[in-house]
Amino acid sequence: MQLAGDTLAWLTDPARWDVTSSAGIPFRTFQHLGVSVTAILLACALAVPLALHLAHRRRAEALASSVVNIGRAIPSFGLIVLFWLLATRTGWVGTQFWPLVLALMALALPPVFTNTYTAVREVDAATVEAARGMGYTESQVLRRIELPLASPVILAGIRIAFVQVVATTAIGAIVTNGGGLGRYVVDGFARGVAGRPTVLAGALLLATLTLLADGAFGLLERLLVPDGVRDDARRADVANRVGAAG
Amino acid sequence: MTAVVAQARPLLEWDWVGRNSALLWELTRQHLYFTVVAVGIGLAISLALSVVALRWRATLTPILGFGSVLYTIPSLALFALLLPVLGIGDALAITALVTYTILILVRNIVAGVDGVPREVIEAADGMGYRPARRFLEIELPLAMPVVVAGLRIASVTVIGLVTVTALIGRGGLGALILRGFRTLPPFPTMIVVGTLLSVVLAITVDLLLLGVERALTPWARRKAAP
Amino acid sequence: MRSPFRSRPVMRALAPIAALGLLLAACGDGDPEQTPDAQTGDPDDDAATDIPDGPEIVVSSFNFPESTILAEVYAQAMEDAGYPVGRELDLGTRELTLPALADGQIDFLPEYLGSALVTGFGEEPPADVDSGADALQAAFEADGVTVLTPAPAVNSNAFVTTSAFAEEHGVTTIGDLADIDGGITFAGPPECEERDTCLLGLTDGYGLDVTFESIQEPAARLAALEAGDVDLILLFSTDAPLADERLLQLEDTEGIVPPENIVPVIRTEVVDAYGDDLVALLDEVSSLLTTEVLTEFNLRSSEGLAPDQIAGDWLAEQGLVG
Repeated sequence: MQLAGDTLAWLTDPARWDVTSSAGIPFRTFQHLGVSVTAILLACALAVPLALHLAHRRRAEALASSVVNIGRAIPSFGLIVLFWLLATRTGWVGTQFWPLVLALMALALPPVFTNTYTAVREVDAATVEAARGMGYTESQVLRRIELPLASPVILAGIRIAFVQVVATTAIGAIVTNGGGLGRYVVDGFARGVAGRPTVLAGALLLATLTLLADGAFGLLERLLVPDGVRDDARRADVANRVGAAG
Repeated sequence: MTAVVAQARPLLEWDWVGRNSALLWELTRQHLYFTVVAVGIGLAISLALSVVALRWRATLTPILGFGSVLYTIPSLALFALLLPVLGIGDALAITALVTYTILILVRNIVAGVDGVPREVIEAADGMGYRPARRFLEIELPLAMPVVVAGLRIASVTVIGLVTVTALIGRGGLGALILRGFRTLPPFPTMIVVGTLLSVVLAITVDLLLLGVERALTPWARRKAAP
Repeated sequence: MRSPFRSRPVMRALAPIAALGLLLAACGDGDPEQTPDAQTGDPDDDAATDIPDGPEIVVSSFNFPESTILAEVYAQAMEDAGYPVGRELDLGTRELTLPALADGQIDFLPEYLGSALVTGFGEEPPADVDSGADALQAAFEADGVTVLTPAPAVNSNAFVTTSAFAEEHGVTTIGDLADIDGGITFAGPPECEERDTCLLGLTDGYGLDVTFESIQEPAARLAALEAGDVDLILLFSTDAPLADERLLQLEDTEGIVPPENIVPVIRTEVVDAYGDDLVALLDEVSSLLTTEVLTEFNLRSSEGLAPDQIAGDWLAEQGLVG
């Protein structure tokens, strides 16, 4: 229980919460989220339009269902180190931020893509046909019918991918100085027994951030999804299909 | 001119692979060992939890919620949280890996058993099957395709996470990646091969289990459910 | 109703799983606790028959390749002579290994003289190798550890910057960094932050204005240095990249880095169990380790050779095995 006391002392030390310190919790949390949010935004920017387009046109079915399996098969640790390695060999990007962000983006692409694709495909065909019958253009069908109806499942998929990204960002602390809250865990490990409170505190902060991210996204879903469309059962199905762990 | 940290070596040196094939087999075997043990233990625990959830429906949501929280905790944090309790060793790695399988497996076992047609249950009841025997001999076997689908996801997930256990001294192929990275300057082939072999292993296990899943549903060759 | 388990599709499906299980079992019972660097050598059939019965000697190392190679060198030399050897390599930093040594979880560690004293025991940096060895033995007394004869080989903290940076700011020694406006950013491993031989040496010993960045792995530090994200990094003096002319090791005029000879430390109970022969063997190995040898070890490591291979090759070259 000494350890619990030390950890609590660590967490309540006001110096840790100093907003100006680069070793402080606020800075590292901000850095952590900066990496995670950038990665998920990039992933969505790439995957969502592509998936919407392909699903609307009823193309690439086999690809969509297999890509998430292949994506799950890629080890996050390996990919982060690999991207770092490639960055050192090309010198286009620095090694502290972009390799980690791009690796996380790559890990987020499969779930976001497959989920968006499946979401659009599962929109009731009759509704889509009816819209066409009413004279909607293809673009209108996609924007006004398929997208809103698919939005809960799309957002559920992005949520899962985002949580995974937040979790995996911590591993970036091994290759850079920029692993956000993961820095505490890595540094603490290196300090042996004296570092245990740091490790525990870092782990608690990390777990809390991830759970908060999940919850915050839930709120976002409530805001963005049109009222008549929320579908919790299908969202659970999505989670099952797409699940990825960090 | 390439940076000092980047050796002028190709990303994949086949002769290194050839000279170290014994090492690669051993690492793959270790990797698979951790996966099988973790998924095996996870399956046992999930079966127990599923029985509880199926018998007392009210417990389903809290059980899934618990599994969901475990799943969300980042692996690095989980190692750190379990470290004081378990110390560095295989037990730490395997315990953490097991927690990532609970959500997927419980969800799939329950969904699978729930998916058994009512007529079958009623027929079994009519033939005098008691609940326990009915569960073991009728419901669970018929749920197998969905359960195996869950095993697929769990296995592939765990294979990816085993590489992270390199950070606590285990890791199978992850240990190779770490070693390549710790060499100065880093040795590209170790990193590339470690990552590629992990992917190949995951895809192989996935396809193997997909074969099992398909073989278990000869009466319904529809597009495989997740 | 026939149980589906007896139906053929299920049996067919289970076959590949059974096959996989057999394959795993057939591939032997490799100890999953071994790191990839740990391969037990073949026990020498002509083991010296005058080795008394005694405990297994658990050899350990720090979490960087050179230390693991050194551990392998000693381990294989002992194995070749017939001693029972176990391995817990790549264990961690000194903060992790010294407690394990004191507890008896590990028995043997190739230490670095100066850092062991300063970082391990908080003592003053030694003036020279001999007084250092004596001081270290005194410090280890309470833990039941014997300090063996230090090797000629030295590997100390190196404070490295790019040649371009050095030229631009006219620095050749660490002290010269004080003249840089706005201070410098320095990257080192996490444990560096609290060590007198590292960050504290820069801030207290040299009075520099330093912003510290914690980057655990040397390769990542080197990448950050070359990308311009930091001005100065910590490496080891035997690291392969130091030979490149684009990097410059700054002179340590204030002497914050003490003599860092390789010095094997071993639990006294192991020495007592096996006697002078063991000590003589280990001292012989140590006497042949020079700084050039360490640099060569690191170079071979960067070429993809495994620590046990590098160690084995060197021992064979020196005629210490086989």
